[in-house]
Amino acid sequence: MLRASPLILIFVLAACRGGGSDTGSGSDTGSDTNTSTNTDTTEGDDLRAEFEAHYAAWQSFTDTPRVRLSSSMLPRVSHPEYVAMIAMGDPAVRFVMEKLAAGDIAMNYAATQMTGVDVWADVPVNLDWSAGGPITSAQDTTQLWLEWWAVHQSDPRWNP
Amino acid sequence: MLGRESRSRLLPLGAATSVALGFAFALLEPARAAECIYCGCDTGLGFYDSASECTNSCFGGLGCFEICVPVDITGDAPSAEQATYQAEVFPGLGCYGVTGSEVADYNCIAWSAGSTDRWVWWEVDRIYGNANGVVEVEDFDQFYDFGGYTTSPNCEQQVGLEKVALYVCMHPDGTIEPTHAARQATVPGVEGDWWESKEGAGKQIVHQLESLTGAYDPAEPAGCWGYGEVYKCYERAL
Repeated sequence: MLRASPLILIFVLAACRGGGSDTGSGSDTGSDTNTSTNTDTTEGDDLRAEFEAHYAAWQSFTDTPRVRLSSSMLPRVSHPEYVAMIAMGDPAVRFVMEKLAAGDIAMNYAATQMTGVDVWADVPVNLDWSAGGPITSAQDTTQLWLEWWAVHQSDPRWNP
Repeated sequence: MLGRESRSRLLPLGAATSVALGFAFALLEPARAAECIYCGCDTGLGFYDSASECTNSCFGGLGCFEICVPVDITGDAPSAEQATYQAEVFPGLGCYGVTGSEVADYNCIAWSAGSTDRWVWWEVDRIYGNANGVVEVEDFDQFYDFGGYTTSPNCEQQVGLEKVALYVCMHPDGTIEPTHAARQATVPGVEGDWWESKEGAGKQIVHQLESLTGAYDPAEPAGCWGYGEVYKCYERAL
């Protein structure tokens, strides 16, 4: 069972200030989020503003009925605004992590694409759910990302 | 919240079908109308919030049909706007009953596996499937295999078996894109081929197997109207 460390919980509390969404389908854009990462620069603010603009536009798309009623994540992650967030690259990974911390599981895909990391690579999974055991979910994947970020957030790659 | 004693919902069918069904139900099961909360009419009169309005409208000579699905509704009453977008997304929806609130905590795949607290999509490929980064029918074969399911020769109700239906969007280039899963269900007091679905981040409903289907349309975000078509069913012993 995956558990959040106290460090992660602190991060989550900080990142959740701006709210967030689950599957990119609700709530606000978290535009006033602020974390302890070194983003207190004009350049960092510009990056955040750019990311939040893409995120807000993407959320408008995911809030449409046809997307909201879709279980597939493909329409969500193939939208141009979502692709634009991914294209922002390493400096925007911290913003993705904030959205994950706020509960937006749709950002799992962006995290994978932007970092090239497979968070499930070394995690043992019980595949058999025939007897009613839990199935592995996007929420589990998000939890792994937050644990990964707790360890790697100070890496210079994510703080250019 | 709705009371638990009368929980039904009706949406328009085609005109001919509606009139026929309306007469049939009026003649065969007139008492069922009193159980309606919502009804739909071919006249586009929309949705009604009381059994009396429903009955008066549908049996007031307005050409309405009447089908009631007396299921337990656990969610809030749908707004007219929600009902409208349901009909927009699923043009063939017809009659259905709401069985769960609109929440984003879980989706159809999780529901098909009996979970109501998680969302499952990429994990079907990465964890249970071939981990090639694309969610494919083969991944679902493996996913349901881990749940004790095998491919069913049909999607018909069979005593002693529980079934899951997999919907796909068939693209013109031959790509078969999984879109949705539904779980076979029973509706107490109403015979028929009922299935139960969690609609993405939307509500949980009971419906007919084919009523969530729709044709390919490149303008659609998901590639198809509704969930495309029913591709196959899986089964396991109860």
